[in-house]
Amino acid sequence: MPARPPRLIRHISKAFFPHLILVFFSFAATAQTPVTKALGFNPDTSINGLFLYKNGNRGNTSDAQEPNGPSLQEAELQFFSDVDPYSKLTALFSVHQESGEWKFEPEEFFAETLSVPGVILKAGKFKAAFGKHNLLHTHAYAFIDAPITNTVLLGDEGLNDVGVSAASLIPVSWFSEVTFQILSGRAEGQDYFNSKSPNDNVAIAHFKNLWDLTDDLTAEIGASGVAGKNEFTVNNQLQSGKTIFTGLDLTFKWRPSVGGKYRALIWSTEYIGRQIERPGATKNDGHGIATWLQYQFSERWWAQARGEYLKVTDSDSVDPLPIAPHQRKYSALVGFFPSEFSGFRLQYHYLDDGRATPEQRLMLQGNFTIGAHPAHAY
Amino acid sequence: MSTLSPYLTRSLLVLALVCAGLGPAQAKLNVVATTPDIGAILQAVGGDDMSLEVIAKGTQDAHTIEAKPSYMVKISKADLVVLNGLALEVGWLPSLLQGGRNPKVNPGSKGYLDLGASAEPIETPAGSVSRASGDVHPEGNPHFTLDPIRVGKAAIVVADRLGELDSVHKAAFTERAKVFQKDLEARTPKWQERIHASGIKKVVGYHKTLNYFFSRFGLEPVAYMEPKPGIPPTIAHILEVIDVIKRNNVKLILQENIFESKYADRLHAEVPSVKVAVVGAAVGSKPELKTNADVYEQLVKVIESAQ
Repeated sequence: MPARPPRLIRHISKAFFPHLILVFFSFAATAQTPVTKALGFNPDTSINGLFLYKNGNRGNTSDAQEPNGPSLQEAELQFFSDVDPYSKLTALFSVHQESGEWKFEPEEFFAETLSVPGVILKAGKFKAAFGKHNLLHTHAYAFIDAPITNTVLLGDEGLNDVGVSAASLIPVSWFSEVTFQILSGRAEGQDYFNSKSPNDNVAIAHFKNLWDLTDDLTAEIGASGVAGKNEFTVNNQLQSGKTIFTGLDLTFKWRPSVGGKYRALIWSTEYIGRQIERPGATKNDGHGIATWLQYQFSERWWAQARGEYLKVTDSDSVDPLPIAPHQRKYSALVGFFPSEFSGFRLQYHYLDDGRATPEQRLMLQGNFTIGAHPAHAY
Repeated sequence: MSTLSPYLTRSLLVLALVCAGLGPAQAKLNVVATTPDIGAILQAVGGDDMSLEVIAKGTQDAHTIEAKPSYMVKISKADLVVLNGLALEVGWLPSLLQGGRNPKVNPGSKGYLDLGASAEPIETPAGSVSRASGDVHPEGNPHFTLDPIRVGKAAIVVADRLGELDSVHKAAFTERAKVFQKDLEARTPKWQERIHASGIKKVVGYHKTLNYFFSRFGLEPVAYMEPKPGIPPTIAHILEVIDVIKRNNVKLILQENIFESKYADRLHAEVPSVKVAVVGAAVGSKPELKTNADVYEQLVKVIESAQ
């Protein structure tokens, strides 16, 4: 196996972890005071904590992959600041549990330009410009969990890798952005790009358009394509094939300019297709679609619903669990947001994934943010 | 070839001079204002000598504008971005500026003008700031455009910057700004007299939007419907406000029209002697409020009618 990209911190011991958190919390608290304003060269700092309680019919056994009960779904520590007049640095670390062990990992760590007209150049580790959901951090998900099309076809961490990026606006009257990225193709959990050759990078193209249909209504259409190499063995011979992802997304967003604090409606649909070319071996193709509605019916309350369909042609080690050819999932959510920095969401889902008993699960999530958190993407 | 060279040289020289003459002098500045109040100041100062785009509408809460990508397109074409500042736009402007990919309007450049920096803000918190106090702005109350005197001064700041970027129209910008400022300075004492004559001294608001207006004209906000800035009203807090209204004999509630009026209606139902006025607190918040002075005039009329 080729050496993986260097990682800043891995597998911090349980004894060290609480101290680390205390240090970060102290730093964030200080960042709010005028003292720090005088020391204005400190980076902006924010911490987000997601606390989750789960109860489902598959979480009662001792070997359950996602056991019932309370957990820290994830904590995100984010730092960002202008480096100088020319560039900006963003670092985002994720704290979460995997198989009972705490992990502290760089989710994103990148530098990007501020002074190049018409284009944003970026280098580092970042979420790839693929589709709509893949770009979101966990606390900004439309639902408590990610769509199954993303988790099954792209992996739990999604497309997130070390690479370079260029995003440019096309000079038309509406928002039209084209992004090209080259990624290393060797990120953890992305075994669909398992070529061992250091020259086999992953190429991404993303095209996003957004129109103001009225002052209150926007339509957004995105198209994405990803291509990379995989390796597989047939008759003890190492062979190479292509892995291709395609993505399409469509979002309508309505927020009236009169009374918009109290009403909004969002309808999003995202399609993802995966083709893993392995002549003579398991193909592991798949495609799926997720569509969801989000309705804000008062200043603090949202009601949401989501339907998902996923089809995979084969299953092998690329996916973590045996997967039925067809999966359907239905979710409903009610959210209450006391302020823009905190929220509570109650979600129910029904998952028919081909097992004898479909999964039914209820989840309650608390979402808390402190510090100078940047605006989420529209 | 040698005989053509002088003609070619002259022709190129003439062409260059024509281009130099036509370019900067005829191109209008593209200016983006973050809020309609700032846009109205710019319109008064820049007139037809610039092209103006305004991001937020008067019917929207300027704290919580969504960073629509279409706004990035406006910023990508801008020569100047003028913002209210004092952290009013902190939740959305940084991402628009980055998405606009236009170094001309980055913070610190000539194309970036923060009017809050020279606004002499009120209600600057002393000591440490915490979100336990609600949506407190560390640099002070950002709604300075509700004060006609501060807005007049802002017009002069705007004219200076427009003049730096477009020297051809510098004199026109300065002249318009002076006229604008003088008009507001002349009308302010008259508004003050009318408010004084109304006998209204204590009022209740929803958010701290109108505090610069209150401060300028000697009105005292004795309570707000928000328990803390940016935090929606609660029944328990509204009961406290009812008590404050009764104890202070408050006659007028000024409710900004971007907020739901159900809490103000509840107050009126509990204390029928108090009048509820749903007012526009920004240019464009009502169709008839087209200038900054229109907003002040509307507020003064409402206060007069409550006596």
